[in-house]
Amino acid sequence: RDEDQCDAYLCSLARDGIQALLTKVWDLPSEQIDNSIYVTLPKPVTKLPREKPVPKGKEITKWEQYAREKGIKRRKKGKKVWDEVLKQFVPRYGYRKILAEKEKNWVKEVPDNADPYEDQFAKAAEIKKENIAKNEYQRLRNIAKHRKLKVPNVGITGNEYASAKDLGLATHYARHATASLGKFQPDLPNEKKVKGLGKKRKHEDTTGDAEVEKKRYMAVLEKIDKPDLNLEGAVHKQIRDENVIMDLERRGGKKYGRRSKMGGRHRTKSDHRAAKLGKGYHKIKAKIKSKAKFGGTGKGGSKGNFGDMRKGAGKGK
Amino acid sequence: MRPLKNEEITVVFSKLKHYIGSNIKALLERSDGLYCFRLHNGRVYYVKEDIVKFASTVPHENIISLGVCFGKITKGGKFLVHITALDFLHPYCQNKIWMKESAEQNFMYGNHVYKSGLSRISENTPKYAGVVVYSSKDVPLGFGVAAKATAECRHSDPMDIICFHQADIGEYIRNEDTLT
Repeated sequence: RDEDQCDAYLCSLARDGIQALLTKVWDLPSEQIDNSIYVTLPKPVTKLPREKPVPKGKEITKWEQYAREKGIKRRKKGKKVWDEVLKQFVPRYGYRKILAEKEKNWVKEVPDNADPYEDQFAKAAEIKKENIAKNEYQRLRNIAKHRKLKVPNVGITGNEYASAKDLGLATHYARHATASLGKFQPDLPNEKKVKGLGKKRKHEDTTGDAEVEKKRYMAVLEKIDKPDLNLEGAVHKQIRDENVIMDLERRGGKKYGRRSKMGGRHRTKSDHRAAKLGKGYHKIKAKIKSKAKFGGTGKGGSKGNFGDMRKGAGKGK
Repeated sequence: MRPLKNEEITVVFSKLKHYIGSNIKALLERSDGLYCFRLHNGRVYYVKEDIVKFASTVPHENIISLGVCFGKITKGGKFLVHITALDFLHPYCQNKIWMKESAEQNFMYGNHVYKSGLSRISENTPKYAGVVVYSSKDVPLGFGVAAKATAECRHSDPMDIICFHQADIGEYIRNEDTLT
């Protein structure tokens, strides 16, 4: 372009700009003080940039999408509903609604095809509980869909409301969802047992049979009176095992080869015990050897202490 | 109110055994009726069976006590004997301690029994056995645990403790609110 045309263009642009500015200034409220016109300028506004990103719109639930397609509009519902039975206005929700329902349903008819011993009230309560649970599940599913999370169909869904109690419930279900109902499930490292779940053990009746109770007490008494450790028995067993080992050693350590001279059957008692000890033979030998190590009369000494309990004190090496 | 479970009965009987030894049978086999143990609010009660039946008609929030309170089972599963069991346990008790008149008051305020307050002690009392403490006039004063065996008591200092205080009849006044 020509330089002159540029200049002319720029001049006209500047003139237009200043004209516009001045008209705006004259539009503002003005006051006359001391023969001069003052214009109050508007307060300066500092427009800061957004700190957070623009909020996303509300997510559409499954029902809302369907309603939109079908053209179903929301109807505003009143807070109170006319109840024919009670002949008054009852709130649609809340505490007084439940009270009114209780008044209405003081009796429930058992339908013809139902079990006469079934609790109809409990059944109704159960149905209501399930409805609430279903509603909750669908609500959470909508949220999950929006956030693109995966939701399982059964079991505990998500950890949105994970109180300690809920987590305990989740672990309980996870543990028991095995073929053996969690009986052989090994514990995790820091797993705590959850209280109050699993089968509830019934207490005995307060006014049960007193005789039976007395028998129970006596049985407990007997258990208390019984001593815990059978020391004598344990000692006898140890000595017997030692004797068997010694018999074996006398015979040269062999327990009769495959073709036994005695017809293939264990004839003597010590043979029986030796067969039993088969796996423990070396362990007991090691025990006896270690006893002999710790003190010259280690082996004899241990026998000597219980000498009064044993019958044949002279037996042995 | 409910009957005690086997674990609870074991704990109770083991504790009572300290005091009355093998005479627990005498508590169960009585000539004047069937007695049983009931648990209510953590406390173990020794009641006659008929009374239990009456008591079961009362709402359990309104029951304060029934029969004789032997003691209470703590949250940790231990059984503590209360003074209210004294009347039932002292006839069957095997190990006894008699106190001098001057030391009776001291024990009833909750202090331990010192050698200086000891008048008599039953023979062959093992160490840490449950004992019943009597006054010199054979009035039962409370429960205790022998800190020394009979033989040791003879050679101990006057200021040695020979019996740890467990319960005394002064508690009827001191712990009036909590005893049932």
